Amino acid sequence: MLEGYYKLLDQNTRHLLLIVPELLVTAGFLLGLIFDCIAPEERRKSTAYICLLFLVAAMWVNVTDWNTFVHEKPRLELKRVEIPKDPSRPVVWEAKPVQSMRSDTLFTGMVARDTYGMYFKFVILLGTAVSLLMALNAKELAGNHRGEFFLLLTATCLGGMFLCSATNLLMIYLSLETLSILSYAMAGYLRQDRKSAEAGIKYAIYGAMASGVMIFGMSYLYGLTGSLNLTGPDGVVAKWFELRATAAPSMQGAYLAVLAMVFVGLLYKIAAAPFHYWSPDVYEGAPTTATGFFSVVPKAAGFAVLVRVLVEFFPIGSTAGFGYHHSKMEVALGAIAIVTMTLGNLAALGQSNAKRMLAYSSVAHAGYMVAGLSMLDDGRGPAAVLYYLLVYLFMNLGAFMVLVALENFRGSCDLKDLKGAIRREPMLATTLVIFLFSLTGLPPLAGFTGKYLIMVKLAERGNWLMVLVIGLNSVISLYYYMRIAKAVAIDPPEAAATTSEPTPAVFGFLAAGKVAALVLLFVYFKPVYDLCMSVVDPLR
Amino acid sequence: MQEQFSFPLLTMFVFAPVIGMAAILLVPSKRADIIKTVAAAAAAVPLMIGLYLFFAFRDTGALQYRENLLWIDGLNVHYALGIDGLSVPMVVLSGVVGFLAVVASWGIEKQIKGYFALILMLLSGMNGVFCALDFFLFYVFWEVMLLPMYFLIGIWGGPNRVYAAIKFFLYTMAGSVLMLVVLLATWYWSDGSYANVNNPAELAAVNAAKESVVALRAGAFDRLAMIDPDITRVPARLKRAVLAQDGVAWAGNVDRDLINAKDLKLRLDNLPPTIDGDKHKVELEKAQLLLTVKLERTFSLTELKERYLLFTGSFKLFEFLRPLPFAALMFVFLYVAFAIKVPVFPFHTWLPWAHVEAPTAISVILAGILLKMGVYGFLRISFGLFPTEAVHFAVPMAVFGVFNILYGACCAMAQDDMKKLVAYSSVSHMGFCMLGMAAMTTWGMTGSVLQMFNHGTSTSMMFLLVGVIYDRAHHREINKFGGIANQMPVYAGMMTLALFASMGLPGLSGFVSEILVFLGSFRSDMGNYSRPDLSFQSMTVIAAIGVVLTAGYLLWMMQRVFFGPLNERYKGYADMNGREMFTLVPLAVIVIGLGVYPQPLINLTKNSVEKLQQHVLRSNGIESAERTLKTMADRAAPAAPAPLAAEPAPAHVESAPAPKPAADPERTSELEPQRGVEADPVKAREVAMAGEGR
Repeated sequence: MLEGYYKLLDQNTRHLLLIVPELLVTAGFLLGLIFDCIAPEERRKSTAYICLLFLVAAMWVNVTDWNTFVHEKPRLELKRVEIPKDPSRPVVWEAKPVQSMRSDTLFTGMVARDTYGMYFKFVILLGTAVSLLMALNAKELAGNHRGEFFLLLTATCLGGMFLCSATNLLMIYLSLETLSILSYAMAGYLRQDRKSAEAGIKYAIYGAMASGVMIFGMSYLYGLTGSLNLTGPDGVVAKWFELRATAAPSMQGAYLAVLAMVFVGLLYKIAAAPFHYWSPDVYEGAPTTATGFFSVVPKAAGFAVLVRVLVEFFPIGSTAGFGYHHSKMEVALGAIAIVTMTLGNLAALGQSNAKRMLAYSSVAHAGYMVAGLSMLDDGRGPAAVLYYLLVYLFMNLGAFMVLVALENFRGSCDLKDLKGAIRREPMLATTLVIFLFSLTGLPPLAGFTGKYLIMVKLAERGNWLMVLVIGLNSVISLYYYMRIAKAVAIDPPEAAATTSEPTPAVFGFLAAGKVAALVLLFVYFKPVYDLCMSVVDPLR
Repeated sequence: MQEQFSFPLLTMFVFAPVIGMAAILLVPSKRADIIKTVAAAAAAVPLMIGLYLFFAFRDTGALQYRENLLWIDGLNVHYALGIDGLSVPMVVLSGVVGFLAVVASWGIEKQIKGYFALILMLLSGMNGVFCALDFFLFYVFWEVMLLPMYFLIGIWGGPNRVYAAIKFFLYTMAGSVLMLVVLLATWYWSDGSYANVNNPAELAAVNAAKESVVALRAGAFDRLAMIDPDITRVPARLKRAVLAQDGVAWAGNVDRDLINAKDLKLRLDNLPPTIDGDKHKVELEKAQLLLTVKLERTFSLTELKERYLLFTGSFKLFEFLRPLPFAALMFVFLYVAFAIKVPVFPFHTWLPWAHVEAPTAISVILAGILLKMGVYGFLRISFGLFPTEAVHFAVPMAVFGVFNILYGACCAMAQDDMKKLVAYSSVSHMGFCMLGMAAMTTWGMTGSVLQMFNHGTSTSMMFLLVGVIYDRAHHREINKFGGIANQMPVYAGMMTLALFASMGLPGLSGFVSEILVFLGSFRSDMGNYSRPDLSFQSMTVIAAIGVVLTAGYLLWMMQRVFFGPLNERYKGYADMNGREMFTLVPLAVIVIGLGVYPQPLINLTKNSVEKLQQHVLRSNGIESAERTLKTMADRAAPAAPAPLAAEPAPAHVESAPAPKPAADPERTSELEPQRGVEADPVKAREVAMAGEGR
């Protein structure tokens, strides 16, 4: 017994070497924390640089890790070939490749080590790094002990990284809570600002409610199956199906209800209808940097775990598990998608604040992505969603970033305050317009490709209604995106600039980089899409 | 043959303005002179190419100057450019009008850098639309144009510019969503997987499409074998060039595909007419051979056109909804998408707004080129991909066209604003395009293409002229003017010329296209072999009223603006300056030149139009009288040597009498009277007329 314990320890320590990106982010967070405590007030800006350094290092390790992981030689396992009838013959050994090389679980099944997780980690790290740069140059955060904000961002990123590779109910819950609780703090970061405080409280209440429902469902799952691991023959999913098959008909509803509770928590995280009510208020009240961050990073992590859990129950392209009910799931998720995107877009029409508008627009984009998720007959639906998330990172974070830059000298994100901002910042305002066009889904920008890939998949499934709905939603969204574009680029300025400080050059570089990324992802989308396909593949 | 490919002419045509745009973005915004010069230089490249093509292009009915590169492998998207007689007039027009619009923008004072960057981007987008041979690429260019247009109207327009811009944007975007659905659907349908192979008719359609693919590839093989008998030794560059000419996909193992196709073609061609006296066995054998051919989904407009028979079956929006006939629904979707652009009633309401609010140069581009993209889309995509539906919907289309003519004219008559008047006159004139196109006769369709060109030039003139007076008076109220003719005689002369061209005075270009449209639609037979279609005859007569109305509103406007007592406010107005003359004189030369001698333009487009018409009619089992007689004449005369680079047309297009598309067997009976065509005196007379017309 003791031997087994040692073996376990040994394995776990070894596994620590396989989560270097997470460890790096943790190290960055801790070092930043210490630095922030001991450094004098005026040097605290450097906290961000420390965090950034470690984030970039984590990103680099993540990519190299990915590279070695993909090119790893298949590990061989020696197996004895049994020849029961003739004991006199020598025992024959055979070298067999280990079954699933691509998908390793770490820490006795707590987190998975697969390219899928690595892809999302990359997205999350990139999003956080850009958000950090935004936070560094955002005026609204200045003088508010903003070292803390940088640390919150970094720690949230850590939660997100674990969330997207978690394969254990407890791990999912823990990392989700890490992500959420830190987000509440970020939303309410501007303590003096009533709206920000309100956003923090609202976020916390809604989030607590959703997590409560989810953990309630999870506790039932654990009680039913006696396991916390999602995968594996003794895992939650396998056990759940096993038990349900033998359960009394009157209990079937209860089994489904438990599952529904878990999905409620996950849908809440991605702000899909009807669990999206928190997002506009939170997005509007939170500091703009945090809003941009919320709209990308927690959402990406939420999608990561949603896909992971969903795929366990509805295996891609297979009839195992719930596989026979793919079409029902398609209708259910399709309905959620239609409601989400339509509600989001219609609600955005009447807004007068750019932040709130983009908040609703991000609800709508969640709808497009859920539409892509609804088709699990092969990997292309989820792969399109993965691609969309990457593109979405660039365009949405880009839009928020420019808003931060404009807010710096206009004081708010109300459309009336943004008017004529192009006079002051021609380059940034132009890129904002480009980001908005990409969000609408117009070529030659990657936003079009993302939508197009989802539509292609929908069309292949024969779901033309959804294709049409997405198309018409793009037309609706065009109207409000153009309202922002019009305010920024066409209208004459009304509000005077609150400051004459020049906009930091980093905004310009980042915006140019994002625009270039959007164009490149449009022209050469195939390699990235193939990558997404290969990433989704091991989930089968 | 290879010389054509040494220089990517069309890529230059499309992307030169974008290069100019990039250059402009690097120039500091204070150097207005440099910006303008760069813009003019960038716009001059398409102009030069357009003019070169006007003189150098010989319309054989085939696509020329093709470029073909694989863009996105998995989706089979190609960067495919090419032009034929349908696009060349538009290419020329786009080059000329685009350049003149840039020159006409010289007077812009607000945010010069942004303006010229956007206008160059706009030029690239519209040039691309006229050259794209890939549906995906077409869509991309179509959309690329929206962004600059929105801002050009929204920033540099009149008082209501934002409303006008967003209206334009939303209308077009709504149309393009429908086009996107068609784009996706035709892609999925194009591999025949939606055809029901248990239905002999649809199986035949799939096989016909496969045969055309085999024929294309075998043709490419032949031409490669002319360069080197062992085609694997042909350099890749040359191979790509030869393949590009047919638009054959360049992906995977090209040599193997080509050799296989050649082999298959030989075996198909050498099938005996009967096996054991049984024709069906031959069909079976053929089907067996074709089983090995896999159709790939494609966006290529040329290939989709060959595969129109595959667009059958029903279209289900959703599992629980009633299925709708696929091709008809797609045609309607495309109709809406293009009708918004043309614009056809009731989708025209964005146009007056956009025109009135847009700055002069943008109005010129809008009326001169953008509207034509709709008609061009009809000809290139709707008619090419859905020829059967094109005939089914011909009468409704013509009705909308005629309604457009009259409605636009009546609206124009009621306007006080000069620009609005010209805008509504555009609505009216585009109705002629619709009518001529829907008539499906060579004359009608040629007239339609000519009308696009001529309306493009004459309306551009009118908008430029309205701009000239607006620059001086700062208003466009017709009733506030009077007696301008004495003050600005050259201006009045130019305006008179433009108005007369627009109303179709003989000797000016408008007349030629209108008369062609009328002649064409009046004798449109539409599969009714004994006599021209009565509905078209009556519609033509009604449409002719439009000419009178046109003359009415234009002359009335002229009278109110130019004649009568001189309004004292306008005393001392200078006549047109050099730059204004520079933009107007070329257009005036074109208008007069093509009015007197329209043959060059007709030659540019005639063969392609005829080919498209044949494609449409034959797909409906209709053999037009002209064609029958021509075939008879060809048969009587010793066969002329076929042109060298004749397009490898699929067998079902060229053979006579028309083999029926097996897709609609109920039309069989309509084929019967065709045999009597030779003896039909009415037809014979028409053919004689057609002969004179050329």
